[in-house]
Amino acid sequence: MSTAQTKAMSFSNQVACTHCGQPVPGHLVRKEYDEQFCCHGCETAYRIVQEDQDLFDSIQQRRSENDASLFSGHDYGFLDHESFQEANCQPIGDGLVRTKFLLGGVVCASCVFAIEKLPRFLPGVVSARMNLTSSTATIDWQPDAIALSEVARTLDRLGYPPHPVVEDELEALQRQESRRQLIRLAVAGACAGNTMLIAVALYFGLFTGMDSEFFHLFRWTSAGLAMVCLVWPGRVFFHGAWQAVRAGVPHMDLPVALGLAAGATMGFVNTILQRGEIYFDSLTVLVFLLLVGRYLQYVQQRRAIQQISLLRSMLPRSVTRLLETNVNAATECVPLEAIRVSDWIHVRAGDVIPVDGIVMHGSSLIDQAILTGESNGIPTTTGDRVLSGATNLAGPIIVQAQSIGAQTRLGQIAELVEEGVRGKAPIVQFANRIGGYFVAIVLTLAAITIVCWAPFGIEAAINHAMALLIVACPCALGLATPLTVAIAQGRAGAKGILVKSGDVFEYLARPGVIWLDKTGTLTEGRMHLIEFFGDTTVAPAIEALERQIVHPIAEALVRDLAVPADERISATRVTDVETLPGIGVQGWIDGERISVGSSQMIAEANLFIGESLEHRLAVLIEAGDTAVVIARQSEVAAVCSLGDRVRIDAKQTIASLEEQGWTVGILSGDHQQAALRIGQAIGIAPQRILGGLSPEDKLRQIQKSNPSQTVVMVGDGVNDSAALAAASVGIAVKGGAEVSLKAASVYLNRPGTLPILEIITGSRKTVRAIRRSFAVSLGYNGIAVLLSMCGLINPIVAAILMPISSLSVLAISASSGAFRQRLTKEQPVNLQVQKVVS
Amino acid sequence: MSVVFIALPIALLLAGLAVWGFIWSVKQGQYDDLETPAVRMLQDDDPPHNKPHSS
Repeated sequence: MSTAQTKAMSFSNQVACTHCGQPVPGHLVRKEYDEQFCCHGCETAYRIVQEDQDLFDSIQQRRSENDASLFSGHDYGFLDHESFQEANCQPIGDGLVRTKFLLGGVVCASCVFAIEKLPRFLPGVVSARMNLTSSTATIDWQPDAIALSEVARTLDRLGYPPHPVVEDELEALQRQESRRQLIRLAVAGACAGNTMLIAVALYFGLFTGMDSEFFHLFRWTSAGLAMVCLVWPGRVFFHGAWQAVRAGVPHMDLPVALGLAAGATMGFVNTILQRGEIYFDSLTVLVFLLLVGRYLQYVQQRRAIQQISLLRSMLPRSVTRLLETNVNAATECVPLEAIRVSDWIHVRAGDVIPVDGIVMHGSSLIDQAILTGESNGIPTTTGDRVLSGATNLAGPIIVQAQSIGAQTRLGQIAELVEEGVRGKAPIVQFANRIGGYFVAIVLTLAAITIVCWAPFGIEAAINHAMALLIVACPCALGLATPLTVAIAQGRAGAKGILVKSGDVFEYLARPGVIWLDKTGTLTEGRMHLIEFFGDTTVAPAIEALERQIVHPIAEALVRDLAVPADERISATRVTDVETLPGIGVQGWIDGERISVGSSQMIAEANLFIGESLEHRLAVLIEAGDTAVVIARQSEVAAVCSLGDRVRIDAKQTIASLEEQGWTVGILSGDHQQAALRIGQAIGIAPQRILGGLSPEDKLRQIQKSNPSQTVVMVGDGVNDSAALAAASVGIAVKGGAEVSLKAASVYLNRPGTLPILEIITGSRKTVRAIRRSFAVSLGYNGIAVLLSMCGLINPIVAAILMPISSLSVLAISASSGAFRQRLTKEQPVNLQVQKVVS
Repeated sequence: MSVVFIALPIALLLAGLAVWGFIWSVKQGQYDDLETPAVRMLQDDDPPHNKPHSS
């Protein structure tokens, strides 16, 4: 079209179309605009491509319409509160303020695009920079032009719920450390590379002859480069060795430092005396390779910790405070830090209670599983005490704060975690133990060499001994552990197993004792329909009624009855829904009264119950689950039971763990009876099922165990966190509480218990790969030591042996099968009701 | 006196410059995030101003 038009038009001027670049016909030129179009087609196409505003709006709209789950709908009003802005917003001059947000749901380039385009749609936002690695956005904004809550709400509407982050000292320190390691690596790499280039010249000189002036120039230059390499990046090894000597524990840095010191001394002496061999090329490459191994491990570790801290930040920080201590008072959204004792707080259904306090108004069901391990919700009403960290399940309540922050039960448990960490004896890694022996053996051999060669002259004896110390320097040995661990950590991370520290693998490689938490770990931690007896035709009516209310039982019934869409009763036909606190709910559907509630309802509402159903009901109550009665009009139509369900893979996991020699037990905060029932169902010996434990009891149980044995704790709740911290390896499972994520050294980001088996198998393979590398590199070192004791070693042999041993270690680490394939095929998870009997 | 006596220090100086440049870039924070810049290049440039000339 544009071509046809332009052909027909005379080119009265030479304005080019902004879209296609062809000349714009004279009458279409709009002098006052920057953009010129030769036709409507070009203009429309251009607008589609460029008008991000519309695109942006339509994304927002689509997100909020179709993907209600993505849109958290939080009120971000607390971000505008003074106390928040003081702590989290940093003025950067020119009336600008910088705030960092951790964003959920950022995955790819398009997300970065959407977020970094913020300044164009939100006047007042000057710049938005996204960091994909840490999922943080740095936003510079003008407090005069826009409220921070508005920025947050926009991000939320886009599908990236923001969480304010305070860059604490630890994070800043970590970044510093990471930069320092990179710089060390660069310096060591440059020194090693240049020393090797010079070494090549020197080696050629050996064969073809070289003028002595060049010979000494090259040697002195190597010496200078090696000096830089040893005192700057190489310092870490001497420092580590010195620490090990002072603390009296063996460490891999010891033999490394010994070798480096021997090599450097000999090299410098020979350079000055202008005779003998220099080993500077080997030394600098050694420093470089060891630093590479360490850096890789550090990067993997940091990545795992970063991912875990991202999960931790996904918890609410805002609180709805009542302006007056009056039930009907207006509310405001404030940051958690602004809450003071005796403030009144509004807690919506589904929210986490932020303080320890007393319920002043309303009644609800409180889920304390995270604090106590109790699987059933506790009915709570005015005057009852609630704990911070618990979840309000059913209705809105108003709580008066009694203790906040560290004084809450949650805060006390966090302190208990610290205690657990302090009481933990660190493992001396296999590599470090070997390092200790290694030094002893090498020094003995050096002494023997001196004694044996003494008759041939003391100078030759010292030369041979020094050569031994240098070639025995365990480069491959020092490389094996960090490299293998880094590879294992990376692969485990890709499979949803986040490992915070490398010694986890060593602990898990040998069987020991493994304690599992019950609620949320072995079980799914939420209500499920277990059994259903009676008239199934009432199901659509129950579903329609329960859809109207917020309650864990209602949620379980709606989910597990799974009424097909074409049988569903529309919400408009459900009228007069009334919740009977502590009993149940009733409502009218097409003139029929439907009620769902506890067995108490029969007496309360004077319902008729048939004999067979009455018998069933008695059996269900006996079984210990929550029994629910369903009545149509004034007759009981069905009874069912609800309870927490054992994870599908739990039994299989326990069986394979025991097969592998692990002792499996349960540490539960729930009642002994409930723990026993679950434990026996999955095949755990009754004497190792401990129920009714407080967080302190769990910690004591862990500390009581044999210190020489590996003790693993698997859990998710706050009540497990002290035990998680004290155990040799603490494993937090998906959906765990903030404190437990912090305390555990492993986090399983996949539901189910199978990942536990995976990390144990993976650890075994990792440790096996490390030992294999050790055997190989010790073999090389052995050969080199023998050669030097016989006086047969020269720098060329050393220069060839060293890279070969390092390369074989590299190959072995990379080929270790740890976390390679899935342990078992993933079973289809049966989400349907297990048993529906009519 | 051979050219090596000049060439070698120059070579080392160049290597030193490269190391210095790297350290500078690390300190600038250019290595803190290695993922985002790679995807940032997929974004469009800002379009020309869609507003009337000020003149």
